[in-house]
Amino acid sequence: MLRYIFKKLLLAVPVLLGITLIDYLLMSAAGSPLDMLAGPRITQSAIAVKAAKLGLSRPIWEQYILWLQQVLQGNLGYSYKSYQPVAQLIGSHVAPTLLLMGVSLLVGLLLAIPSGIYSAVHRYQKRDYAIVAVSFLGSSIPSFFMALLLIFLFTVRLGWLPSGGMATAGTGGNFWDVAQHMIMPVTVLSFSIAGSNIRYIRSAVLEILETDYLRTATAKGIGRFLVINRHALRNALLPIITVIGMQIPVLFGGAVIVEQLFSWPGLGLLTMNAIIGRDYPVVMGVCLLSGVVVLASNLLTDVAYAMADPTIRY
Amino acid sequence: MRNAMNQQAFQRFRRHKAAMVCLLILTIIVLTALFAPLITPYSPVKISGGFSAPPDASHWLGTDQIGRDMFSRLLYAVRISLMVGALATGISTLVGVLLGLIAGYLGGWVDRALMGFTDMVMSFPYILLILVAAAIFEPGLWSIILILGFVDWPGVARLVRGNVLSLKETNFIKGDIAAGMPRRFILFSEILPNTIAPVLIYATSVFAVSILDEAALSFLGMGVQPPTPSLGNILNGAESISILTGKPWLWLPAGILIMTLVVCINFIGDALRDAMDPRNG
Amino acid sequence: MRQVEQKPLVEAIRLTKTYRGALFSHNDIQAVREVSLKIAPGETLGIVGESGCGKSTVARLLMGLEKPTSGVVLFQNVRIDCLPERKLRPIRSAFQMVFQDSGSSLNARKQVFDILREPMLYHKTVSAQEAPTRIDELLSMVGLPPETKYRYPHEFSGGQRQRICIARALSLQPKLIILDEPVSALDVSVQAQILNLLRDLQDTLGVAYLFIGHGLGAVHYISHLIAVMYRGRIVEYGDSEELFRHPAHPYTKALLDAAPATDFSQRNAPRVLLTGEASGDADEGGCDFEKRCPFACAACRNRPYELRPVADGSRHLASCRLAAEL
Repeated sequence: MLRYIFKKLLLAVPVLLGITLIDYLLMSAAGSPLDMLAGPRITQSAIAVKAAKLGLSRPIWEQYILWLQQVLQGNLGYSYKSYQPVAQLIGSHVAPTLLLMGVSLLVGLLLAIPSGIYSAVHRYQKRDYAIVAVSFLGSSIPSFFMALLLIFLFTVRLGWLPSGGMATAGTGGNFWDVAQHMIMPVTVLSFSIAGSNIRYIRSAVLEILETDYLRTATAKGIGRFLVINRHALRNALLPIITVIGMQIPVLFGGAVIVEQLFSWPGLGLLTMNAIIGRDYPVVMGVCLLSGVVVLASNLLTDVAYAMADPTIRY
Repeated sequence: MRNAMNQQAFQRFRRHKAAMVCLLILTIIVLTALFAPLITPYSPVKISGGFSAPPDASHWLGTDQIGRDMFSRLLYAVRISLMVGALATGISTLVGVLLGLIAGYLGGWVDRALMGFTDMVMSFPYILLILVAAAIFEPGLWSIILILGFVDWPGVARLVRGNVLSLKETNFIKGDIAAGMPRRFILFSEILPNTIAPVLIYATSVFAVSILDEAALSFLGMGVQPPTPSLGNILNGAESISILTGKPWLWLPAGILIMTLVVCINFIGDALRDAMDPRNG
Repeated sequence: MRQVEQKPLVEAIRLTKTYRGALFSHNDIQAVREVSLKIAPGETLGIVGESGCGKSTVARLLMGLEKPTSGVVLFQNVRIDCLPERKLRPIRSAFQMVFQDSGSSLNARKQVFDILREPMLYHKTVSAQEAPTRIDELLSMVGLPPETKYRYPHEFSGGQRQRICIARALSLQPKLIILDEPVSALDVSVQAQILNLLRDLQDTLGVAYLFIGHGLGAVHYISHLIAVMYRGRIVEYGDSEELFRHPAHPYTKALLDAAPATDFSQRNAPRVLLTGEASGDADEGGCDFEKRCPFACAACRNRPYELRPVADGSRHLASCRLAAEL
């Protein structure tokens, strides 16, 4: 097992390197971040000085190597805009995103798992169709449209919920205040998580319900509840682990749009602004982080899989 | 037998009432979008009425902030969205099928390299990649098509590779090799036709996702640029609070249309999956 | 009687195939170990053995579907085992293969007509104009009416599909057809039909067969020579009749005895019955069969594998120490 984890970690290194390299090349293709600075009050020579200072006058591959060396020393560089260290910027934005993602994932799965199982058990009945239809809606509604609808309904019409931000200005952001601000973004994210996962869990449970050993268990006359809980659920655990694993990268991306709409002060907002402002060190930092998160979640999924299924050997 | 098999699948498909309804709705939407010039007398980019006028008899869905007819803007936007979706799906399917075929059939280091690259693209947060790419290239219709097309292929590639690997073990392919048939015959005349069905089913979901992504990007202002109407950039107006609160005709129909399109495509894809699954009698 | 010493069509010399075990494990699997055999034109060699004894691997190695770890395959005295696929392709038509599972042997999406036509056109065995006539001819050779050519594989029964596979193999006018358990998946009555068809085709076309099976009856019926394989090695080799009448290896004897006796006078004859299964342990030296052999003694444990004539100058070979006495 340890050896397996070690092997996976080794394989992750070239993938990460590849991701950062692609990022770097893409961004270099986008043009110099100094274009953004250019204006009537800044002279050409000032820009040249600045470019030299930031190392932008060197060839791209040299810049990349320099960046890589820095990263290996634990330094993600400094923002071109605010001159703050990237690590610090990310650090101050990561908590709100983690909070939003964590709660949304939890709510989404708490919705999806019971509905998926319920739907599978009552296959081809009206309630099954209703749940499946809702799940299609969940995976088909654009998150920004749903966010607009919610804002329209709960902020504009009813005035119940704040439209954006994480805490009311002036207050320190106590628990209830933050919770209120979270309701809408969490609803949007968890609805789409639930939507795409209900059908997956449903079909996974269906497959298990149709296996011979479950038929045997039912035929033995032990109650339906017991059959589902004792036998089906444990085996449905594997697909559920996969679902959680698959969800993390999706969430990481999905948060960008939702954070933008609800002005949630998280990584998504930071990334969006950095992309628009061509703040390369920040974008590189976020890409590196997201690559690590995705690879780590893949690894965790594999490990969890191996632990949940005794027949998988490595 | 092919006819018999397709007929069976077709009958199973027809049993999905929801999917049949979706097919009908989708057909209507596609036809109205295609024949937009015949249906609406207004140009989507020319001023034809008052500013932000609410719906009335001549402008069924009102006019936008500068007086363009919303109904015709919507019809033309559907055209754009469908075109982006279809072309992006086409590109990603083509790329995915080719890479999947090559990786699966050649195996060895080619396979390892291609699949490593695929994993890399897959483990890249999707939206981030699109946003970075969109920031680089001049935003616009063609760049969004290319970006979406070159981002969605890994799923197809994996699917095709898996299929090729299992087909390669079948006796009829071994028989072909034994008969000394050339590689391109085995790949394109034997393996490819046998993976078309799952690829098409997968393509429906890529199509749906592409439409959603185009809408999201255009909504963020990084996709299709005005004055060309797209479902996403029409919704972009709703970021202004006065439109959101007071002029629902400017954003609600576009959102509902996107949703309808995507729900319908997903339902049809799901019904196809069921219909093609030989386990369903 | 058949001419005994002919120039061989195909010859395998000390073929060995080792599969690497799972990553990070050291249990390499020796599927085939130093197998040598010859097939003369128009002759049938049968290979028998339990499942997993390596007989299908031998077939794949001869076909060039896999490369041997070591050893040589000669086809008409030309070495083919180390040829790259590109150079192998033109001569592939000379040896064809029929698989056990006829269901997956034919592309479900193509009509019989196309299945038969494509390889012939590629190898230019016939011209495009002659193809339809040739296809009718092939179908009638394997006992199918010509009008079936527009059907798809799944509209046929298993036996009929196997006939199509044979027709497909014949379409390239091969000198050798490798039959990998071609009748194992069929009903007994259909088995006999296919075996008779194969024999008739051999008589009219002079094609050689390598017939792989685990049913002794079928192998005995169709083969001129038989090789018995156990754990990747040939343990006995000889004339079909001779081998059946006087098995020289306890394993062969056990295989024969395991088949229910049809002759009532033989009912109470002493039998050698096998217990246990062929173990997959690594080679420890000595006789592979020793652990399951009722005649085993200490000497067997250290005796290296060697295929020797049962009697001086005999074509009947066996690897058992006691071959002459059994």
